[in-house]
Amino acid sequence: MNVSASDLLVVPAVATVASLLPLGRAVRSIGVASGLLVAALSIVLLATPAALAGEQRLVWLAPLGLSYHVGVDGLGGVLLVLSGVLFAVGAAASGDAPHPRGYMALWCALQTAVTGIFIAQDLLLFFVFWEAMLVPLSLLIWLWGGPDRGPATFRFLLYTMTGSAVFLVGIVGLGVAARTFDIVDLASKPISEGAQSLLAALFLAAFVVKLPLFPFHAWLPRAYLAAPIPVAIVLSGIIAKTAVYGIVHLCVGLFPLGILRLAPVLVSLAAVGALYGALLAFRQRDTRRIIAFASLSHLNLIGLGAFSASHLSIEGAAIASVSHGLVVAALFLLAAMLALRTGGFELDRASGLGASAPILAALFTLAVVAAIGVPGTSGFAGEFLILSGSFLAHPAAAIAATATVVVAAAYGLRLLRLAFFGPATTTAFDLRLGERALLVPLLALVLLLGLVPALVTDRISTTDLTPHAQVAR
Amino acid sequence: MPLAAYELLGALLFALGAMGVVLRANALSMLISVELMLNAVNLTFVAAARQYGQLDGQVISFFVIAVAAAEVGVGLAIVIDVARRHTTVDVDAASELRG
Amino acid sequence: MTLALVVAAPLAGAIFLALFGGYLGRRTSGTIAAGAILVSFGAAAAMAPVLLARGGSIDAPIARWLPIPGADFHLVLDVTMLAVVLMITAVSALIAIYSIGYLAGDRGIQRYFAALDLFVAAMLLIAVASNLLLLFAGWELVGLCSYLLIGHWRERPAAAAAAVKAFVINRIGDAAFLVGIFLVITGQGTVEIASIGQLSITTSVLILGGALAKSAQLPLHTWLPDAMEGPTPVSALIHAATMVTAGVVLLIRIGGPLSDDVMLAAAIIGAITALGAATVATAQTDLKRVLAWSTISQVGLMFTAAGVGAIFAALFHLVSHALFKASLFLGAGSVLHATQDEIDIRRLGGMARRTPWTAAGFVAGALGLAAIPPAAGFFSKEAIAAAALDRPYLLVLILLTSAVSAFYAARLVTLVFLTSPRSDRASSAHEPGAVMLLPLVGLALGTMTLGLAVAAGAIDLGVGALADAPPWLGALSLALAVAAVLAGWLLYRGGPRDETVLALARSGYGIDALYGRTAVPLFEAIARALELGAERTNGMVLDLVARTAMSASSAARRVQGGYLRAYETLLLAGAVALLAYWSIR
Repeated sequence: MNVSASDLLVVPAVATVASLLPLGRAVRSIGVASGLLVAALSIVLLATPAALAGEQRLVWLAPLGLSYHVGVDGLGGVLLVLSGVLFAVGAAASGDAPHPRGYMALWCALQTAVTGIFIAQDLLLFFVFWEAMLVPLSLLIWLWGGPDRGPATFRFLLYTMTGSAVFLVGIVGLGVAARTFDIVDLASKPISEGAQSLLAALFLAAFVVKLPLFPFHAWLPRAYLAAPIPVAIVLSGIIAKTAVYGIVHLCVGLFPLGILRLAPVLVSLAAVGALYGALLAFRQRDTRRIIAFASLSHLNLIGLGAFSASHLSIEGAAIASVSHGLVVAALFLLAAMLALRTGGFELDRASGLGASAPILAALFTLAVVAAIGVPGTSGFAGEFLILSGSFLAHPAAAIAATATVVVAAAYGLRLLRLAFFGPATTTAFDLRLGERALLVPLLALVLLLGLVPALVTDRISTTDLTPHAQVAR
Repeated sequence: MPLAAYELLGALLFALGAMGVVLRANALSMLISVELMLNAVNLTFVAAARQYGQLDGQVISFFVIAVAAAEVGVGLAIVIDVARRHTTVDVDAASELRG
Repeated sequence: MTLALVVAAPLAGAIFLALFGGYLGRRTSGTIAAGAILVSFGAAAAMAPVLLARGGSIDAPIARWLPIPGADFHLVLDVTMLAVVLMITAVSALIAIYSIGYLAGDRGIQRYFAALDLFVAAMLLIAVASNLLLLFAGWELVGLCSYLLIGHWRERPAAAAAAVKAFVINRIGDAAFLVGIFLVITGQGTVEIASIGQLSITTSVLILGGALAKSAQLPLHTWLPDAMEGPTPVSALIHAATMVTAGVVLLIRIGGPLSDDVMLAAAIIGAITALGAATVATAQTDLKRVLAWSTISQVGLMFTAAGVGAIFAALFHLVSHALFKASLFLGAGSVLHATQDEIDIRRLGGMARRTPWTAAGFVAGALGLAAIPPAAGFFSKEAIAAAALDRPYLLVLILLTSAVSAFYAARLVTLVFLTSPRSDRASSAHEPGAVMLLPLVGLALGTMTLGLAVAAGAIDLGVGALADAPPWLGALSLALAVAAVLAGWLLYRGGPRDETVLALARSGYGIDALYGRTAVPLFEAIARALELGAERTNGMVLDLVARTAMSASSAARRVQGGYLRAYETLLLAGAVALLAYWSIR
């Protein structure tokens, strides 16, 4: 079967329209199907040996060098599978959203935009999808979110678009100067080191805000808290990874010398961010805030791997990206299940739930164990490869980031202790079948990747880093 | 008479009309001032046409007169509507078209 | 294949029990758990003849794991580790059986036995992993399982806190170990243990740091006494026989590549810890805490042996300590079970008459601890002392430690078993059932027979025979031990004494309290400062940007005031400006 990259766009686009059908609550099955289908198609594409699978190119404006050029490379394919899974899980978890048709239409529109980012091989096309992501995402947070959704959305948009504006300057500058916006073509054009540094900095403006790299993360806690849980899952699980993809595919791919020059600063910020996020997570009393800051820590660690740009650290960033996506989805779902039983997300509402809800406790423990990087989970595989891959070029940052594992243990186990240990102040019903059905596949994948990380890393080693990039090895 | 005299008169009339538009609060006075500006322009055009021996200036004058008439018609209609709404032709009363 | 089974059997048991244990009863779960471990034991025993006959090692590459040279699922077993594996599986199986009786009525049986089996699998992984990364995986997993098992009684806040403390302190060592592994990767190019050459001092120090945390040596020992909050079989397994010995196993396995200076440092740290912990044990009034500090002390002796290169002595003491300490812990567990958890030794007493079999097992273990023949403990301690003969300062520390150990062993036995009962719970105690007695007796017998077997040269452990120790050393050790035991018995046969002079020792010389006053508050202060300082500032910066944007747009809005004349004026002014500009150009 010949799958093309555009098929990956068609599926969620059709789903967007299909969501408007009068199906009532059952409309979320469209979202689930769309997600799973994209994941399946991406796996098919990943299996093809071509460097850019399912490639399609339609020239649009030849004099300007603009074209509709799409294709799936290793990292993109892996992240596409993750995005499919997370969109499916999030859709399944969106059962009690009011106005389900509008919600699901926006959800599938969001999926379309996110998919587009991972397959775009033309800079302007990439930018279009990058911006297109914001519309459904903002509407989902603003219309379906919790208190503070207005200010949170506003700040999120403001921050993101500032970064995007700078990014656009870089894109236009590069495209006009090189007379082409095509990423594959640009990869073989020589760019001076100074220009690479400048362009890398301009491009990074968008990605460091989206990741978010410390200290550009001020939008994160409010956005994660204001967003409904499924949207938070997607925001943290896959939208943050679009930034990772941008860094690796665009910045490291096109401007490796620039990244090499900027690396000391970027890597230091990432290491600080990893520690910072972990330390702040330790202070939080609301489960969502703990997850938010823990995510900040993990995402900065992934950033560390991406900025170090060694083969090993990028493989680590890839696995860690997938791992974090799965784990954060599980954690948010578990937090929601816990909140359902205790009446809110604050941890001081109830304790000792381990006695009445042992399965919830067990799965929560497993998710936390994966989050803090115990071997056997994908979290460890990602963290170890990132740290060992960065150690040679950036030992100080790698050591500082390694200290994060201690703080992670502290905040992770604190969360478990506050919720499940101690005398039982209330009883709770244990996990129901539907809840287990969402969690078990996520956690099973975490364990699978922990034991067979080659499923991801092998795809990355086949990603063609550009001729420039040979230097960065 | 030298062209400059006509141009000067035209400029003067134009300036007077412009001042009238900006400084006067009565909508009808503003319309009259606009008419003044348009006629000043007419004067300049006709004088120039006479000076350079080309009929273009006079033709444009015709256009200007026609447009002025149309514009006054529309303008008066708007003034009547505003007057009905606010029971005054003071232009400061109609200030809802704002950001 | 057989080698893979050694790790796979308990792992499979753990997975099975985790998924389906809820549908099985206590006895079934325990039997499956113990059975899986026994399969492991059998597999190891099956490989014994081959290994003992031809030496070398058995190799079992299984699958790829991480994209780092050497980091695969690859197991290797030599004669030295064979002894360790047999010890781990035998002791763990007995403890699993014991747990069936001890945890009667417990509601968390399923997760207990699942965690137990996972723990054994992970510990075995440490012993047979072919590379540092797989070893590290086992290393962290035993830490995880100890968290799960120490915190088994979730309702107890003290247990929850102890579990977290153990895990976090272990993680500190793990972080050091990780950096050490990074250095190994960059320096050696592979993590395969057999292929590692000489390591730098920095690398060695970092790896030693990991070992110190896992084995509860100075300065990362403070988690172990608190870990006594867990069920007593857990203490027996994790904190006597296996997990804490992981550090020693590591030192034995990569002692060669580690820098000699660092190894000597390990020996010195071990010796100091041994003596210090022994004195603290003397001052404890909690039955299990005596044994906890005793463990810290004995493991210190193993570090001393490994540090001076006496692999055989370290290994021998590892195994013999496992046997006698497990006996002591299981005996303690039986006492607790019999007296409804009377844990204060000042209120116990008279157990010898009420629980004679338990007493016998306990005393056998105590003989091992006091290093009195024919218990294996005598011979293993001899070996360590003999290894330190050329370093008098170490020898002195070892001998002093032995003396103090014998003293507190006698104190413990006297107060708990030989004196008259000092509380109702003590006087109404009765012997526990066979399920709990048989493992205890088995371990006690093991202690006794092992010593004799090894001393007689019946078992060759592949790292050199018992050093030809000068006879005066054995005589001196025995004399010291007997004297210390007599002193202990004489001082305590009348019951508890006033021990206020030992107050400092009882608190562990204030080290734990020091950490509690410095490290922990410092950490919390940093986190709080970051949250209230940096995060708030960051938020304010973003808010500032937002507010600037909003006020700029408000200001710009004023241009569109709705006043017609303002618009006209602007229009006119603009037109004039343009005209002027063009006419000047």
